[in-house]
Amino acid sequence: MTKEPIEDALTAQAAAPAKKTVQMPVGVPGYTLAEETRSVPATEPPVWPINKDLKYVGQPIERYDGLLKACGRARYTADVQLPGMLYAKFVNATVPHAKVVSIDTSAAEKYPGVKGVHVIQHVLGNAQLRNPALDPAKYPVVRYAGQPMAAIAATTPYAAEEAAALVKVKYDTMPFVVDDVKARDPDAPNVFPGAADEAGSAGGGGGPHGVAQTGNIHGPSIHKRGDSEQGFKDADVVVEGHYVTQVQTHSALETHGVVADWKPDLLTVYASTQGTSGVREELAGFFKIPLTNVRVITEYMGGGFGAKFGAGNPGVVAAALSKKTGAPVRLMLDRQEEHLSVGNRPSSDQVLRIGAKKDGTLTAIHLIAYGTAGCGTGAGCAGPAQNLYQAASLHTEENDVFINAGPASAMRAPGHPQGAFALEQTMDDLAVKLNMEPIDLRDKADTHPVRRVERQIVRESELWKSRNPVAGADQGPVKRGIGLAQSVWYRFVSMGSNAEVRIHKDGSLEVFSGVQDIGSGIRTVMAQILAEQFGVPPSQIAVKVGDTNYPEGPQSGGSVTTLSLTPVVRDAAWQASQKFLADIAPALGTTAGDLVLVDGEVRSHSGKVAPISFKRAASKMTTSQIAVQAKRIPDYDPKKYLTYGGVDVAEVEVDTEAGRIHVRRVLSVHDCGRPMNPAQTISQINGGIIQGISFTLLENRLLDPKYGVMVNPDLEQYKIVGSREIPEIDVRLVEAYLGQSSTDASGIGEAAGVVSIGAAVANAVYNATGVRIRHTPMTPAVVLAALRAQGKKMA
Amino acid sequence: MSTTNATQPCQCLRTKNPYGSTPQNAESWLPGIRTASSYWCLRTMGPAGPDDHFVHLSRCVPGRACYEEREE
Repeated sequence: MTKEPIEDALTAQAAAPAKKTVQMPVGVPGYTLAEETRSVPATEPPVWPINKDLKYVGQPIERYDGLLKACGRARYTADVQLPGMLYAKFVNATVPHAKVVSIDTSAAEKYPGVKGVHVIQHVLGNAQLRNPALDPAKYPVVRYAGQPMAAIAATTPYAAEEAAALVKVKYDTMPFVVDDVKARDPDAPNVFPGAADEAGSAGGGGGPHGVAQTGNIHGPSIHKRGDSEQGFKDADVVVEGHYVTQVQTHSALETHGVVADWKPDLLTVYASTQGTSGVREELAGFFKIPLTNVRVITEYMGGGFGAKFGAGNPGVVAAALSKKTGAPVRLMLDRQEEHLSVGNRPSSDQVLRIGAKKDGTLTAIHLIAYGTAGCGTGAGCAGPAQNLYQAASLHTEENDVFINAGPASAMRAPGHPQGAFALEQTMDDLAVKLNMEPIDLRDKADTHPVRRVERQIVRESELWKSRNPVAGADQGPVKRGIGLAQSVWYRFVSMGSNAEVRIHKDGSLEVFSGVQDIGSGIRTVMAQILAEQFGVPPSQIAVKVGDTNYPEGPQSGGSVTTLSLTPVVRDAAWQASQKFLADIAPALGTTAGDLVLVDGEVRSHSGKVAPISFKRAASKMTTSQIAVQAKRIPDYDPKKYLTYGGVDVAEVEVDTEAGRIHVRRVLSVHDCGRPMNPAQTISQINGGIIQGISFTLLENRLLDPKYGVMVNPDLEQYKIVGSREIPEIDVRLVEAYLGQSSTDASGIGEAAGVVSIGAAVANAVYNATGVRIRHTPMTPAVVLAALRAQGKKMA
Repeated sequence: MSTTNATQPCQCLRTKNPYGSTPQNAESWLPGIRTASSYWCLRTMGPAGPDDHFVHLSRCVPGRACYEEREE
């Protein structure tokens, strides 16, 4: 049998990657579409045309698993029931800062139904405590109320809860601070021991950027471009604003949790996670067992927004309890624990200054930012200031402020909603001072080619045309206003993206990847890709995801999933199809080069073979299945640093007597490369807009300064938008081809409105009232205070 | 066999993207992303390391008593 071209190419790639030159669509159809040349591996599939010329990809195909979810048949982690399964409950710290003297579990152990107890002990290893006064440290220091300390496993959830309440913890309490402004005071209680620490001095190795710690402040982390002092000297106009944003918790519908089943040679964990591979790696690392002895399964997942990476305390504690008891253990957090201990979006306190020439050319951006990530780090928010506009000079300083509260975790576009809230309002202030339209100022200051198109779409919209450029012009107590803001996010590629495609002799098709579907619909997109390749409807493709037994998939964070995995799936499907044609060609009396797969049929270029269906052709396979596994290759032009984002416009009504802001309409114009499934992409943007409005108007973690506890750890007093607060949302997707992979997809999760909608609402409020609100959440009290302050100023 | 790399953070330092599988192109954006990264320690599953000091890319470096070298 002669070797087929694909085999030649594969063999050649193993030695030295053979390349071919292709022409790819680049730009926005209808605006800037052109062709660019790329040099790509010879094994890459043919270049796809733009979406309108594809049959399944780029179409609003219904969700692969929509019916299962709607009917309640999708099995989430909390639905997993295993024979003999126990239910676990955490014992959490009740004080915000303490050395733990003792933990007495004797009463809990005697409680009926209790099968196991696990106390979290301090892991000292080779380390020496930074504060020797805390020695001996049998237990970890308590740094926030709600910190997990122990867990009980029992035959029912009620028994576990009752027994957990019987655990007696003796604390040696220490002074604490939960106010992030007071925490900056040199006399404030230190959350971490040691008054000061130069970067790396703990180890003498030196740290990146020389970030120091003084008291509760870790920073500043300084980023510079050009000479900002000179930039402000060169400016004709300078504007400055002070902005404060609050802590937001993730509040996903499904809480964190796992079901762990420890068997002698295999730990199986059903996890609500954004990264099956990360959970496996951490459990193997924590328990010092081989990766092959850990299997992680995530069939369906009820939201994470960045907080569900790694095994976490729930993962290791449930696994430890399962190992101790010899039974599967389910540990799902309750809503209170979810608010307290598994992450949040840090606060911010920003002073932002921008200098510009009279024509709107930015000469300098200067940001000093503080924020608290609780007893962790990650409160930086300078991303938008650094990356959205091209000012001649830039200076940003970011500081983490430690307080005695639960540590933050990544949350949808980390740092960016906070940063954009300040940046995009200051840009509007600048437009007012320059007597420019805010959209004209952005045209001047922002050279991103796709956002230029997006602003053009906004300009032509009825909503933007209806905007009164005079702020506060409406008569009467309820005033209408319209504002806009822009977002930015970055193209990250996760190289840990793999998939396998199998063709079976009966014509059925399967695709496998360990990737988890976190609700954004990667299952459906994977089915669409195979459908496009083999010409069969997506519903007929078997998609198997969310299991570390499959080829490793990307962890879903930073908007990487679709752009990282879809080219892998396409490459595997293409290579499998070429192997398939090579395999059946002899039976059809021709060569693989003569055959092509089109619309579910195998056809012959030469006409020697009459078209036959894919299913019939598969029956001629010489083997029971053909399987091809593919891995992510680098982007075609990896030196090209790409960002994407969008422009959001909000229309609000402000009741100036009651202080209530009602967001009536939102126009959201966004790009994400090739939209693989516009219905799903729009759904993500809708979600981002809703989450962003909730952050802007309502959500707020409240900590009691006297007792150091969260006073609203539920979904009754912690306010989240309901249907009455959700506006009419008009999403316009902009196809923006980049020429970067075989699918040319990008991500949308981060840039999907959540970055910019807060600033758009604030700018709309200014347009309605002439009053700028620089503080979130914009509750009626905040709005009325701002109106009163402006009234006094006017008087 | 392990090799020492002075710039490598501790193998127990964790963030959303574990070190060693940094996304392609990330370097360009790290100034805007790194400061918004939350870290935790594999040994403690929390924001403090075994020595009770906070964990961070700038802190979990060779010389810290609890530092664990990454095996390559």
